[in-house]
Amino acid sequence: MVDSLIKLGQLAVCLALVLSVYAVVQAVLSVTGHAPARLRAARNVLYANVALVSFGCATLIWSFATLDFSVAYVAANGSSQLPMIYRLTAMWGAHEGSLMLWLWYLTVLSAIAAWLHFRDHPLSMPWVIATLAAVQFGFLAFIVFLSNPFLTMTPPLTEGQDLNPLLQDPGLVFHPPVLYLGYVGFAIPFAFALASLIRTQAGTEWVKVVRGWTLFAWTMLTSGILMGGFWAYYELGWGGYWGWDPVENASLMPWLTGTALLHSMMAQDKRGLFRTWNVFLVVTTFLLTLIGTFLVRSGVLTSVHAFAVDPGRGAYMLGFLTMVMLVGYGLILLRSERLSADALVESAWSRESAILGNNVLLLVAAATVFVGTLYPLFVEAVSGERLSVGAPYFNKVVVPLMLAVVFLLGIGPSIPWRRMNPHRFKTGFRIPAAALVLALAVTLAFGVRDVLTIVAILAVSFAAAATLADVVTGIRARQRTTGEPLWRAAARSILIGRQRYGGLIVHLGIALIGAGIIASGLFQTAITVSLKPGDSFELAGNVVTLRGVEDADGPGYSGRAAILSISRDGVPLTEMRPQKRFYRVRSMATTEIAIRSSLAGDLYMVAGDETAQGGIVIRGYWNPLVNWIWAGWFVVAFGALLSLSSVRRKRAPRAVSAAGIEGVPAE
Amino acid sequence: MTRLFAMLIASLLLAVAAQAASFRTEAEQETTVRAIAAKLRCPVCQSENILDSQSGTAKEMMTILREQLAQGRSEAEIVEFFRSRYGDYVMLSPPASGYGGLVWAAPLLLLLAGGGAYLLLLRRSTRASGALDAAAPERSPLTEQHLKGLEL
Repeated sequence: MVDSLIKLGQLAVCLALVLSVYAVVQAVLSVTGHAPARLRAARNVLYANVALVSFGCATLIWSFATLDFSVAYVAANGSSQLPMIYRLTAMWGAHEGSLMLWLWYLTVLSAIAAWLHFRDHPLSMPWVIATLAAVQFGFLAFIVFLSNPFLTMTPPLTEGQDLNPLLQDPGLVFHPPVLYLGYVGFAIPFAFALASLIRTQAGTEWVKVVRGWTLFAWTMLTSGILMGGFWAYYELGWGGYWGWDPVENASLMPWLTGTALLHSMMAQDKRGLFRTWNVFLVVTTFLLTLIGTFLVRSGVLTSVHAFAVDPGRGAYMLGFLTMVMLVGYGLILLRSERLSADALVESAWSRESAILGNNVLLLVAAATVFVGTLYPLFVEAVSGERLSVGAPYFNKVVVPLMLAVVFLLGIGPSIPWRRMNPHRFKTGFRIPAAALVLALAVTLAFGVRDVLTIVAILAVSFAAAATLADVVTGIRARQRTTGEPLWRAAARSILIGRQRYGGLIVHLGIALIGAGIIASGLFQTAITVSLKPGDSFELAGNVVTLRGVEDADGPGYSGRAAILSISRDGVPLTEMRPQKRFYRVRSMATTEIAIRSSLAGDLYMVAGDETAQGGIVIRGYWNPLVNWIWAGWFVVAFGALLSLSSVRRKRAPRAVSAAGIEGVPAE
Repeated sequence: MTRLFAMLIASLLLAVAAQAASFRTEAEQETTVRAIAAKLRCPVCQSENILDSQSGTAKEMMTILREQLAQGRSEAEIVEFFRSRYGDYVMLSPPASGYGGLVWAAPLLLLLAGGGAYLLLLRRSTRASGALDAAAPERSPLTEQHLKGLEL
């Protein structure tokens, strides 16, 4: 019975594969004739595929929940010792299932996009639906033929191989689903971009749709990346949250181009500029999300030889990427002439020009990360030599670029469109300039001499001060004209100008994150000590004393915990229990970090090997201001949601849109 | 208003800078060890440096690093020692010669290309708009007002 359920799941996914082809054909044919009926049929496939793929995922999750080890994927990634919460989420713990999650998001978002925009964009809809169905087909074919999680084996195993212990953490429940939602979110702008290229029309409606979806995807991507950083921080035990690992870089690249897109989209919205460029950015961002998903999951990033282990998958991935690239960039080359802008950049001292600068910096950063991440593969393939491009490289080349972006972040929002009066520049930046001078004085007074550190602190202080000044100026202007009390003026102006204030709040969040990154990255204190019970050491003003080491077993693992008592100036504060765990099924050792957080920073303890006399090696870190990064995420998310709430759909009246389908352009 | 800002920023910076003071209490030797270790890749791990890695090889390399530093060897000598043992692969910051040189040149070339494109577009664009302005002078008096309206 259970065995037949997974077969039904497989069948549902196969059916979705067939239907996706049908949808592409019907959507494209709807341009030539029988438009409304064919288009509706294609749209209904998008709806049906949500149900089919959801069912497929459900059978897979059910197999994990009931520990059906006749399913090969469950046997490889589950075990009877796995707690229920990780059984339910183990689906996206490995390659095949994470692609299922991708696909499921794609079907859901496709259906939502079709439902939201079907009536408003009748002329784009055939191409939007065709593109989404084609991307669905690409993933479905890969899942069904090359990366099938529904495969069963006889006789079934009696016990599974367990989920990778590093993934047995609440982080698994949140990080991949949010990150993937960010990735897949860019599929909708991509579909609209292709539609606009095919129709040679990228008007204001296109801007509204793409802006909303891009903002949504960007928010999710940002959250996903930060959650991943947080997860790495408290799970991996090296005291940091970002290691410039290829997997991390893969998610950073679409974030950089997506951020560029959000800004240049604004120039198109307000001034009709950068049309072709925006389409290019949409296509590039979507491509980078695909590259992120594929390359991370194919294992090719560790070595080109991993690619050869499963050449079918590798070849398919490359083929799919090439296809998307050819179609996307090919259409841009064919149509860019006819997508020219209405307006021009009138002055170097204008918002347009600042946005252009932001785009150049973000794209150079993205390209640098791309080159740095893939270069070792390239060299190995060409010459067989192996070389590494790691954190020291990226810190040296990408950080300065990002600091320039942070400076611009402070300036950009207060520069007017078209051109700026130099007098305004002087008065507008009095406060940030004062902050800059003050920051320089304080930094030097505290004996910081490293140039990059000083520039980093200046950039963040300037950006924070400029953004705050911007917010306050706006609110006070309203207070003056309306005579309202301060809080009401603040609430009103933020509510009315949600797009602008949302953006400013996001900028503020980025400044907070920047401060956290600078402080925790450059001023971290670390110490490794071997302690016997009763021994203590000092770390950032705290005295850490080892009380003993005890057993700490849990589901699927046996553990040992070091009991550390923390005191400050003789006053006991708390107890910390970093653990070492041994997961039996995979015979893998992991560390469980203990963290004590405060606004000033984190005390971070990692347990090492036990020593002969009942002692243990402890590695302690003091990570100043690291919490500002996570606090900054809340601010960013709030600002982005505020801005997102200002995206309104302009509903076309029913009668007009029906006429639109018959061939009168309603867009 | 300005003073409020100044105080806010000052307190923020004090918090940051206070950490700088605690940074210097760490033993000099250990700081150097960590700085060098962060640049060396653990040869058996997936893109981890020997400082963060928990693997046996990394721990061994840390011991060698400490020994050599205690013997008074310089950073360059120590890095060269590991490089002769494990190849360029061990350097997380690629060497500036050979294939590594290209990856260092890439960001510079990209920035030059990007900056060039920015300047070119700006020049072409502002020149063209200047010609437009000359053709339509009646638009100018409105511009300032227009700007104010557009900003909000």
